[in-house]
Amino acid sequence: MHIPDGFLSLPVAGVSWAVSAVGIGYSVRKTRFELKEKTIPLMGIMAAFVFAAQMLNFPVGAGTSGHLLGGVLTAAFLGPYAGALVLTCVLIVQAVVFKDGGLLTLGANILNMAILGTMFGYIIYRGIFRLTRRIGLSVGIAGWLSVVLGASLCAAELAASKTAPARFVFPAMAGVHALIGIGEGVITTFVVGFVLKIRPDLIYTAGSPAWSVRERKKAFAIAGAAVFVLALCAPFASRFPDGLEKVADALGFLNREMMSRTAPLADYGWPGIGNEKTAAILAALTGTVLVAGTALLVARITRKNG
Amino acid sequence: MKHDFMDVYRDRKSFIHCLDPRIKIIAAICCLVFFILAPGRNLAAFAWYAVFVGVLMALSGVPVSFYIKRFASLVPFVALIGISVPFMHAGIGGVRVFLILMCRAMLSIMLLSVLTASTRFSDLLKAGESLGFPKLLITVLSFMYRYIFLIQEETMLMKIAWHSRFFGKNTFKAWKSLAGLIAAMFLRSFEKAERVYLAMCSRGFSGQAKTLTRFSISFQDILFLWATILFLAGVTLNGSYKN
Repeated sequence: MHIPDGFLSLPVAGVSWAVSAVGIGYSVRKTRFELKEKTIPLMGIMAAFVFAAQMLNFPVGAGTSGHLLGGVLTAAFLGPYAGALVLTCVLIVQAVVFKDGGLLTLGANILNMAILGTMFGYIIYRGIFRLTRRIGLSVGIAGWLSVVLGASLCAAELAASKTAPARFVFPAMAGVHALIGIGEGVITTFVVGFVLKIRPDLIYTAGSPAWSVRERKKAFAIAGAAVFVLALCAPFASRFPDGLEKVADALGFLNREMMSRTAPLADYGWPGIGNEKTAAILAALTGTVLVAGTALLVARITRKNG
Repeated sequence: MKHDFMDVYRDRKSFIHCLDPRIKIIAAICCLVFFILAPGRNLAAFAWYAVFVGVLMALSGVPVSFYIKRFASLVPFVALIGISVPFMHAGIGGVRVFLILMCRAMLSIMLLSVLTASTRFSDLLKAGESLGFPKLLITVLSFMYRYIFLIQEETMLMKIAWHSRFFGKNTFKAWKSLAGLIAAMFLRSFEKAERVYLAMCSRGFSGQAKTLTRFSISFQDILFLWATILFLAGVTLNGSYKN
């Protein structure tokens, strides 16, 4: 899932760098506010730990193997903000020292794996935990979801850059990572389970207050409604990329794609913003904002109830 | 894996080594942007980029064998990521898209190899800080870089132990035993972090790292940056405007 340099167009790389920068800046502020200087060595060594853990391959089946991303795992130990910074550091070292992932595309990689994996994964983990009161289950589902969503966002970025058509790259990325994500979810569950037995004080929110039956019912209803709405949106989502490509085809973009361009700047849609690439980015961004907004809304409602 | 593995050529005194790290980072980012900006049909531009990266390699005073090894070991990884691209486009166009992607990715990787082979990691971090990277992130990164080798080695030892005990063909069981390994590693790392913090407190750590290295931008640095940008802009625009 580490995108190398050259696979993303300049606008996509720039937008994802900007979004990542906001996320990192917010996390730095939050971390500084929440924690003392004690966390600096802790975060550094945790980053080294995540780096090493990512090098352990686990069998996925059919002879292939995957490795842990560790977003939700880190969030479960350090919280979403410090967790996001730790994963950002891991990605920076992988890109700069080991050339795993590019420098211009680092923003996109941070967004897909560090920010989505920890912050969004943490929201899901918290939400499910408050519903079910079972840490292992909630961490597992959040782990799986964070991998699949990260892969989908990665596919969206590749499609918006015109590297690969959306109708192929979406199912390919999401499908493969839905499988790898099972490993991520199960291993995250087991690791948290082990640590819970030995040092339960190290889990970030092991002891949040329980809900009454009425509150839990309400939250279940909200979660159910959210799933229902998402299910309704799914056909539109799968039809949307095709629709975009049809528009592009009609305008004759696809034939000229990448090969025959006139001027370097005109290609990337800076002068005329009405082209299909910008539309694709806008679509991806709108989707991200919508999903994040829904998640925040759910989190706020659940917090009020708790 | 040893520290030497990465830092072995960083104390030489070549033209590239002596450039200000900040200038090197800015120049590298400019190069990466130009590599993306060139349209795929402008093959002359890509040839010039390759020449440019080759000249930088020669100027860096690092043995060519180092770069060749790097190149050979990284090509399969990039190819694996892009391997499905040719099948996603109709006809022969997909192969061209794939080849251009490979060119761009490998050019970028080799350029960054020159940068990291000629600059110490601590200097890169310090330069990043003076270019506006968050200080907290820089401090965490410098810690991470110190402990990465230690924890890596411990993990690999545990992995050998894990492999030498057979946990059955059941994937689920393998996952469970691996999770135990990771949990043990986490607890060890956490306790290590606590000990490190206490040791640092007793030596007067206040939450900030200070280094003695001072950077200064010389005339040579400015000249290098301008030459790089002008050359690449010329090469990129030249072929791209001609029809």
